Formats: sequence, structure tokens, C-alpha cells
Amino acid sequence: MKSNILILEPDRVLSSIYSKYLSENRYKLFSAYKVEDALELLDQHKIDIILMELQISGHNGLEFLYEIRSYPEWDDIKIIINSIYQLDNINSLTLDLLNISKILYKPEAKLITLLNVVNDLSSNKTV
Amino acid sequence: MALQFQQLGVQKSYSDLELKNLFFSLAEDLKLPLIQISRIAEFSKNTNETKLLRQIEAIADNSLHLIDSFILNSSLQNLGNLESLQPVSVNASLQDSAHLLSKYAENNNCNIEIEITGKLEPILANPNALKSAMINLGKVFINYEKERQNNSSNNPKCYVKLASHRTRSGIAAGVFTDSRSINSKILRQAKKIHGKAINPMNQLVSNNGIGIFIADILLKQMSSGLRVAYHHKQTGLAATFSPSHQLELV
Repeated sequence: MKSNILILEPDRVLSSIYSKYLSENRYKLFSAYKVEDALELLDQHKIDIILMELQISGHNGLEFLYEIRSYPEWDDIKIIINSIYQLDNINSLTLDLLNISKILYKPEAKLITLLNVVNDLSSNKTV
Repeated sequence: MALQFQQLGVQKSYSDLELKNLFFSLAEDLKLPLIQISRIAEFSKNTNETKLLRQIEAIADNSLHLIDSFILNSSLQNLGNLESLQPVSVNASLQDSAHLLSKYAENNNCNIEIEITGKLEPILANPNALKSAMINLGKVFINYEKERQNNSSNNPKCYVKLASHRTRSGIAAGVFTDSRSINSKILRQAKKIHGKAINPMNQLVSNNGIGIFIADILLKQMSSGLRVAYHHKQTGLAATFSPSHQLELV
């Protein structure tokens, strides 16, 4: 059974494209443009994977991640960061602590790349 | 001539560092539209959705305008301020800018309004730079209003106003909205850190807001640059220009 994916992406054009593409590949999608909406969706639905941008208007994406990881019931959610900025200055300790499954650099992450990562995470392969 | 120029209060050229920062912000801001184009094109390979192709066209056009504004500024810097300034009707310029913004506004479900207060003297300005600055500002404000609308449960009306009015120091022209979120502190901070920090206008828009900095650098060629301003009950960003006395006897 395919996973439920939450897309947290402030840009609506990209959010729409990711959503259409992944749902054509049989995933169930939920979209949020801001952190509050994402938290509400997490409360309401069983989410397996979060695909998110770190740079969100008015919020720090890392704080959102810390918050998610503070709830044991959300421990198993796999997180893919798909960021428009290079994330060289986030150290590996932070990544381990937040249990981030994959970091993608948006300019290089084609739709097919996203799909492959999501497929692998869905089937529990190490990515 | 140099004294007259000083008396007009026209800014000197931007320093190399400021231009470098602006270029950095421009480069970062162009990433998003190019990613959008690339992903839409990738997605639409197997579909016949003409709506997607129209989206690509709009995104590409806006990106080109951004680059053109930056190039315009660079060429004005090379030309030298004095040669590029002429008497310009600020109201006519605002009307042109509003017309050129209308398509962008329509694509974003936003309305553009113009408010022109009476008959204002011509100002000493570069017409292309003035128009370009207003368009860049207008786009940032449209994006800001759109985000505000999307984030609000009240569904506030999305509109921006291009307006001019007389002030004690000259003629002000700029872009205004109903929002109260724009203030001098945010603008001052953003001007300080843009080009060095990602997303210097974080409180307002989720991208770099490069349009504001490009508008500022263009307007500094002919005025004191952008500042927070008020037009009736609305807040916005505007520049104040000195009236041109060249046509007074005409």
C-alpha cells in the first residue's frame, strides 16, 4: 500500500506540481503552505512521509522539525528536505537528531528523483 | 552643475559592495522561477495541459523582467546620473506601470488601482528606470498580498495601489496596500542584510523580495530611494522626487 505524503511547500506552483506528479504515481497527498496547516494535517491524518522546504515565510523549518520529533507518535514519519538553498551549514548531528531521511537540493531534484526517493522510503530501503 | 545636482538631492552611484549584494539577491531569487519552469516542463511532457504552458510563459516573462531591471540599473550606473535624467510626468509613469502590471496581477487574482492626486509637476527622473522600479515594487506587493490572502481565513481582497501625492519635500510616488505589516524597521533591516542573508524580507514574503532592492537601487538614481510611506490610510513603499523646473515656462 502506498504511503500518505504531506507536502510542506510555500510555493504553490511547485506544491501543485509535486502533488499532481506523486498522486499520478498512486500516492495520497496532503498539501500545506505554512507550518500551522502542516501540524493540523498531521493531527488529522496518518502521514508516512513529509516532503518539505526549510525556508517557509515567517517560520523556521528546523523548529517545525524539532516540534515533530518531540511527539513520540510522529517518530516514524520519514522526512525529506527539498530545499532551494544549499544546506552545508546544518551539521550532521542536527540531521541525526532530527532523523532526516534524505536531503535534496531543489534546483537539482527533478520530479523523477523525488519519486525515486519517495518509492525507496515507502519500501523502507535505506536511501 | 555639480552643485545643482547636489541640491536636487540625487544619490551617488551604488558602491561595488551594494551591487554585489544586489546581484547575489537577484541570483538567489531567480532560482525559484527557473525551478518552477523546469518542473512544470518535466511534468507536462506527458500531458496536453496548455494551462501549464501558459504558466511557464508567465514565469519566464517575469524572470526576464527582473534581469532586465538589474541590467537597466547597471547601464544607468555606467551612463552617469546627469545624462539619464529628464522631466517625467509621474502620473503618466504610474499609469504605464499599472498597465504593465495588470497581466501579472490578473494571473495572481489581484487588483491594481491607481490613485493620482491632481496635477503634479514633472519630476526629474529616468522614465524607464522609474517605470521599472514601480513594476518591480508592484510585483513584490502583489506577491505579498497574495500570500496574505492565502494565509488568512477572512479572505481579504487582494489589491495594490499605485499612487502619488505631494509632500513637503517633493512628489512621492509608490505602491501601497491595506496591510500594516510594512514598517521602517523591517525595511531598514532588510536593506542591511540583503545579499548577505537568505530571505531578508522574511516577515513579508517567502522569497528574497529582490524586486524591492532593485526598485530601491533604480530609484536612488533620481531620488533618496525607497522608504515606508503612507497614502491616506494605506501603507507602502515610495520615493520622493524633486519637481523639475525645466518646463515651468512652457
